[in-house]
Order: sequence, then C-alpha cells, then structure tokens
Amino acid sequence: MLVLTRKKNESIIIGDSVEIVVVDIKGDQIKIGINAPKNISVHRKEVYEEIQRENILAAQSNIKAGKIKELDQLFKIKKPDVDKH
Amino acid sequence: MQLNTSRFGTLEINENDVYFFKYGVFGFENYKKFVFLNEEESMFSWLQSVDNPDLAFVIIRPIDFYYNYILDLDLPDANDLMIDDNSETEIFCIVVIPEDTSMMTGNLQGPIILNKSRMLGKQVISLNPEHKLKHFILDELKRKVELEKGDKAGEDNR
Repeated sequence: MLVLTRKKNESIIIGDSVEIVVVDIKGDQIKIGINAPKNISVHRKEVYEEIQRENILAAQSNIKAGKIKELDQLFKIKKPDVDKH
Repeated sequence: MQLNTSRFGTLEINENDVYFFKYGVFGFENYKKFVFLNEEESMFSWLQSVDNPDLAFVIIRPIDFYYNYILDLDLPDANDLMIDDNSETEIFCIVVIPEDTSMMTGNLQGPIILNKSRMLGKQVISLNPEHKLKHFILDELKRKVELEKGDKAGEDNR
C-alpha cells in the first residue's frame, strides 16, 4: 500500500479524475472530501461489509422451497388487522 | 442444462434464463450466474445460484411492502447493468428469514436489480439513507397499507 502524509486541505489525485481532499482533522476523525466523476462509485467500506454479512445471513435461512407459502400466510393474517382500524 | 439444487431438486435450466452478475452478490463474489425462480401466487421469489446449487436467496419486490419505494440508480450501476430507456428492469431485495418468520426482514440498502432485456443483474448500494439493512417486512407492509389508505382518503368507500 502506498502511504502518503497529508495536512489539512491538501489532497491526492488518483488517475486523472479522482481527487481526495483532507477537509478537516479533529482528534481521531478525519473528514475526507472526494471529487470523482459520476461514473465512479464511492461508498463507505462498512456498508459493503454489512451487506455481505446480511447476505450470508439470508443464505443461511433454512426455509424450504415449499414453505414460502407460509410466509404469504403471515401477510394475510396481518392485513385484516390493519383494515379493522 | 440441469442443476441439482438442494432446495428444488433437479432444475432444467435454459441458458437464456441465466442472469449474469459481473460482481456476484456481496459475500458471494465468486458466484456470478443466477436464475430467477417464481413462486406462484406468492409475494416471494427465489434467486438460485447456478454455480452453487446450495445457494439460493428469497427475494421480494420492495414496492410490494415498502411505502412509496423509489430507488435512484447510481450511474456506475446503470452502466454495469447496461440499462437504457428500453430496458425492462426489476428491483428486488433479499429477505432474511429467522426462526420466527414473522420477524423476516428485507434489505433495502443492498437491492438487487435485474435487467431482463440484457439478462444482467447486480446488487447495488442504495444512496437513500432511509433504505436500511433490515426492514421488518410485516411492519413495513402495515405502514404501507395505512399510508396508502391516507393517500386515497375519500376515494375509498369500504
């Protein structure tokens, strides 16, 4: 990994089109600004990791193919409840 | 092509029905081919991996349980999915079904987009902060029904 030291308001250019600016530094928090073209995605890494974990959880759901209809039954039970109000 | 799945037994799959996920789905990046399996008369469907017969996700359309669902598609995602004005697309979310099935949740933060016109799929990240990892489907449905009732107050003469 390339490691660079930057001060507040200094930036890094990646490729021709992505700029990463150190906007503010407070204690152990760094505010980072990103200038990137619209065709490049920028996300927090935790978001990826959380969705990964959620997918793994979903894949472990041990629901059998034939049991899906039982889930639909839950909807039918809930709906009349709502309608009564 | 035949696929021996753990949930559905042997499936006869037409090559033309296989969706290609360039990046797999998060956590399962190596599995890139999926088929969409419809459950008749159900809100739910399945996304069955073609590469791993044991891997299948229960999916649901967010518009079926979430009030006023709108997804702003990020340009890189639209590009990956080769979506244009004529594309027929559908949005799903993956369902987590715990032991107590009434507590099932839908993941709106990482919806699945299928471009049926190109047979391409991608799990994207929603940029809408209201789209969370876990939405209790039955609660959201209740909310949706109530709010929609409010929306068409006066028209409804039940």
